[in-house]
Amino acid sequence: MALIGNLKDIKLPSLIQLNCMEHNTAKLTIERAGRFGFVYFENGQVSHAEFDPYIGEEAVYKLLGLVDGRFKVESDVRPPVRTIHTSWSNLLLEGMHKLDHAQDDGENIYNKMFERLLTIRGVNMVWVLDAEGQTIFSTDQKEMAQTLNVVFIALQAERLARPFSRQPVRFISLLLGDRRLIITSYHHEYIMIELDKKTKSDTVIPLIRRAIGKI
Amino acid sequence: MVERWLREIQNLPSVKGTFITTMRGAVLESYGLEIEEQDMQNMAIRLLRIHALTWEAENPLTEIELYWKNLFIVGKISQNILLVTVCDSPQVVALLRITINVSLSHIVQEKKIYKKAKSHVTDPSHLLRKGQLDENETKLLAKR
Repeated sequence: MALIGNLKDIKLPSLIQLNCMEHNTAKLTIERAGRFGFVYFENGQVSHAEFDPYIGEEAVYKLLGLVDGRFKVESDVRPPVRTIHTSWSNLLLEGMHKLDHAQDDGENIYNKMFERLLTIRGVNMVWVLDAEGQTIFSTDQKEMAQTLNVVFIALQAERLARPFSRQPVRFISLLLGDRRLIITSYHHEYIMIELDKKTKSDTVIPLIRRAIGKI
Repeated sequence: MVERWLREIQNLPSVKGTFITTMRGAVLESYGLEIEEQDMQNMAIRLLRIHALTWEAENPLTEIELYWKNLFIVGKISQNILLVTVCDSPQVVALLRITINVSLSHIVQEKKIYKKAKSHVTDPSHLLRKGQLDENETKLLAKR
């Protein structure tokens, strides 16, 4: 039987450790935003990995940077080829070291922010949208971010307050059926966060502000 | 009677005032706000445009909260009535939400209000049509 879950709940280092300590032969598949990664275990060692366009150790290092994504572990699946000869413990150590010293490129910044936002109770999903409202990064692939015209909404919000304020709106909270969305600007971009309906915006906004401000 | 329910909201801490409009943005009643009716109508139309964006979605917008440094605005839509509440800050928000919900549920039962609101029922997307928007807004919508 396959083990299925999300990296939000079990981190990749734990999954690698578990499979290696159990001397498993298995295939781990990770899917995030339509992109797939594979890690193969053979008799308790990591023997092959792919994360397009990376293969081998580099693929593992890139996969270690994911903070969420669906995964599936299938037992007794052998690797098509062996590309990794480093022991699993050294591979993990090197991967964590690389993560710690990774340059703060855009993706890394957003991964860190996603990680902080997703630890807030009630936060389900996060999107980062560019100044034109197109999704740049997201914790899940959903079309809603594209169809909801966030930039138009922000513009209307800003203009409607003119009798009282000419400052930019800080947070917009929308209740759409069972979904509550929070929209906020971030530098020249927008962050959109989906909450559980039961989560109240005023209680979660200070936490979101802290999570975003920590970058 | 409507004024009574709007006053209930206005009596809460930090609330500047409140008003109700039809789905075309026509102001039906207001309480406490020292701004022109035209300004209230403009506010309502912008909130209704946001509503119109979600109108065709599975779950259209029913509530919007907007947070500024020294301003907090809540828009709530029920039975073709938009209730807008303007506050200095989001204080006692839980109580504010309850009061808004209770007040709105009573307001929509007022015959006079109900009739007027019903006569103004329209396709929300008309607020997003050309002629209603400026160049910048039209451009943003065209990108959809």
